[in-house]
Amino acid sequence: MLRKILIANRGEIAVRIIRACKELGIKSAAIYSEADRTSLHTSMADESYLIGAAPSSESYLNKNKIIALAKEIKADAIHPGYGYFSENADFIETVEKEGIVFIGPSSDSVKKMGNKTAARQLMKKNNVPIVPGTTEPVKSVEKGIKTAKEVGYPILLKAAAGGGGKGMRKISSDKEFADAFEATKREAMKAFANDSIYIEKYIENPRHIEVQVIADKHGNYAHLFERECSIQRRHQKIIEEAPSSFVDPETRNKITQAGVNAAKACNYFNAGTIEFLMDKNKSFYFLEMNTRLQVEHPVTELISGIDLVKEQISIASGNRLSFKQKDLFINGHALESRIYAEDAENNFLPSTGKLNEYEIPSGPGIRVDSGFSRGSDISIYYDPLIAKLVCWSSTRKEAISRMIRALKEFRISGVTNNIPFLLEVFVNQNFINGNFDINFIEKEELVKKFQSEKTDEDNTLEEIASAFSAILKHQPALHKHAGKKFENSNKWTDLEYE
Amino acid sequence: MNEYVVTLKDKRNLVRISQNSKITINGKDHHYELIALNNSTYRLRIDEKFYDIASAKIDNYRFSVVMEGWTFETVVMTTLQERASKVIEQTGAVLKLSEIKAPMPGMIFKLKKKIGDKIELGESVIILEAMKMENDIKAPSSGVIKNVYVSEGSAVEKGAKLFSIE
Repeated sequence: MLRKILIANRGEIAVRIIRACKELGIKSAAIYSEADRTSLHTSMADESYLIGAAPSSESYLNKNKIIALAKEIKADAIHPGYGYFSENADFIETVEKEGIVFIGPSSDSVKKMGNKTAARQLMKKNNVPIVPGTTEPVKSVEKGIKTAKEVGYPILLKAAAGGGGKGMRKISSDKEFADAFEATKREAMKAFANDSIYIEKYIENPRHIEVQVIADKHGNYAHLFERECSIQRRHQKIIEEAPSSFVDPETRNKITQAGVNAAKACNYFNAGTIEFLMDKNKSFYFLEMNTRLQVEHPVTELISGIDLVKEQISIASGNRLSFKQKDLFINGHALESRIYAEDAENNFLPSTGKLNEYEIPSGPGIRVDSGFSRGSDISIYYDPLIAKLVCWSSTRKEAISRMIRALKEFRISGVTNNIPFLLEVFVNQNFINGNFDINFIEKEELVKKFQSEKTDEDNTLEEIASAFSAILKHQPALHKHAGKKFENSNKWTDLEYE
Repeated sequence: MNEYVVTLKDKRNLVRISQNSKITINGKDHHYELIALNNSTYRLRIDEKFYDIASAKIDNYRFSVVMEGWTFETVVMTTLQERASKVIEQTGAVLKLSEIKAPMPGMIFKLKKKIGDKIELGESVIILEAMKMENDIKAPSSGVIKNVYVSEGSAVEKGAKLFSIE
C-alpha cells in the first residue's frame, strides 16, 4: 500500500482526495499557491507546501517544482485530481520515470485518448460510433471552411487537447469562421498549451450521456453505469445526475458496453469516463474520453456504493478491482448541482471575494464537496466552483425535492453565487418530467425567465429582505450587540443614527 | 424618522417601523423580532415565521442580504433622504461622456480600439480575461473613443475605468 500521496491540485477535488487518504490511513501532502492560503485543502492535508505565485502557470502547473517536491518529501504517489496535469501525458511520463506512482492511467492511454483527433480515429477503428467531422487537426482557415462545407453547418470548432467545454465554438457560416478559428486557437493554447483544433458536426438537440468505467492493471474492466449531464450553460455542465432518466435498460446495455470497449481500445486502467451525445432516437456518438476522475463522480458513487477515489488509489497500488460487474446495481437516484461564484442576474460574470458567511446544507441524503470554508477567499485565478451539492434519494422525483430543500439551506455571503438560478432549473416542469436536452437552458429561456419572472415566494422574500435592511438601518447598534434580542420598545431606538 | 424606502432590484418597498415591535411592509402590518447571532448573522421573525439571514453593510445606504439561497442588494433611505437624492439627480448636469468600468477583476487581454476610433453600439472594444474565460467588453453606446485608461497585459480591479465614449 502507498504511504504518502502528493495531491497536485486545489479546491474541492483536493479536499475529496485528502478525505480518501485519511480514511485509508495514507499521509496526504497538499500544494497551495499564494492565493490559496485560506482554502480548505491547505489546512486539511497532513502536510502542505507553498508551490508558487497565484497564477496556475506559476503554481499548480509548475511541473518541475511539483515533481521535485514529491521526491523531496518522499511521496510515493501523485494524485492529479481533474484538470491541471490529470491528462498531461508528458507529466505522467516524467512521474513514471521518477519511480513515483501516478494515480490514474498510463501515459500511453492518455496519449491515445488525450488528443481528440487521434481518439476519434481509434474509436472509429474499434467500432465505437463517432460524431461526423475531421479525424485530423484543421491547419488553416481555408481548409477549415472547405471541411465545414462538406460536413454541413452548423459545426463545432474544438480544441484537440481540450475538454470540459473549454476551447469550443459553434459556427453557422463561412463568415464567422476566421474570427472563431483564431479565438478558439488562442483559448486552446491558454487552457491546454496546445492550439490544434478540429471540426465536428453540430448535432441538433442531443443529450449528454457518459459512462463511468474503471479497470485495474490486471485486465479487469467494469462500468458503473451512466450519468446524464445535459443541463449545461455555454457548454459548461451545471447539473448532473445518475442514472439518466432517458436511458432504458436496453440502451444502457449498449452504451455501457461501448464504454467498456472504448476503455479496452486504449488498454486503460484506473477510473475514466466516456462521453457520448445521444439523439432523440437513442442513437449515441462518442464525443471524448476523459482519462481521469470527473467533477461529477459523486453521483455515481451515491448510486453504486463504490468509492471511486479509494478504488483509484487501490488500483494504482496494483490491487485488483474490489468488486465484480455482476455485483453492481443502480440504487436510487442522485443529482449534483455545481455551486459557482457567478452572478446569474448580471450575465453570469464571475464573482470574487471573501466567504464572510458559509453554511452548508445537511440532513438526509445530502453530500457537499467543497473547497472552502468561512473566511476563505475566492480569487480570480481559478475556476469559480465553490462547491458541489449532491443529493441522493430512492427516486428522481424525491431527489429533486431534496435538492430544492438543500439549495435553500445553503448560506453564502461575500460572494455572489448561482443558487437562485439552479433553483429555477429544479422547479421547471420539463426538467422534472425528464424532457430536455443540452440546449435546455436556452430553449426554456431560463436566463430571461430567471431575470424577469417573479413568484409570490420571490416577492415575499424580497419584502422580508427589505424589511430586514430597514431594521438594520434603523438600529445600527445591532451590529455591536450580537446575541442580544432587540424589541423595538425603547424610545432611543427611534433616533436616527447616521 | 422611521419610514424607509428600500430599493431592491429596481422595486421600491415602503417599510415603516413603529413602537412595540410593529412593522409595516408595503402597507401590511406585521409583528417583528430581530436577534443578532453574531456580527454578520441574524434571525428575523416576521409574525410566526423565522428567517436566518447573513448580512453585510456595504456602505451607509447599501446592504447585502443573504437568505434562502438568494443574495439581495438593498439600498435603504429614509423617505426624506430619498426625496433629497431625487432632487440632486434632477438638477445635476447630464453627463455626455460615458465611462466604461471593469465588471470584474481580470487582465486586459486585447485592446481592439484606440483613442479617436468611431464605434457602434455593441461593438467589442476590449477583451478582458478573467477565470480563464475571454469576456468581450462592448460599447454601451455609439460614439468616439475619448480615452483608454488601460493597456494590454495589465491587471484591473472590479470597477476600474477602462475607456470612455463621447
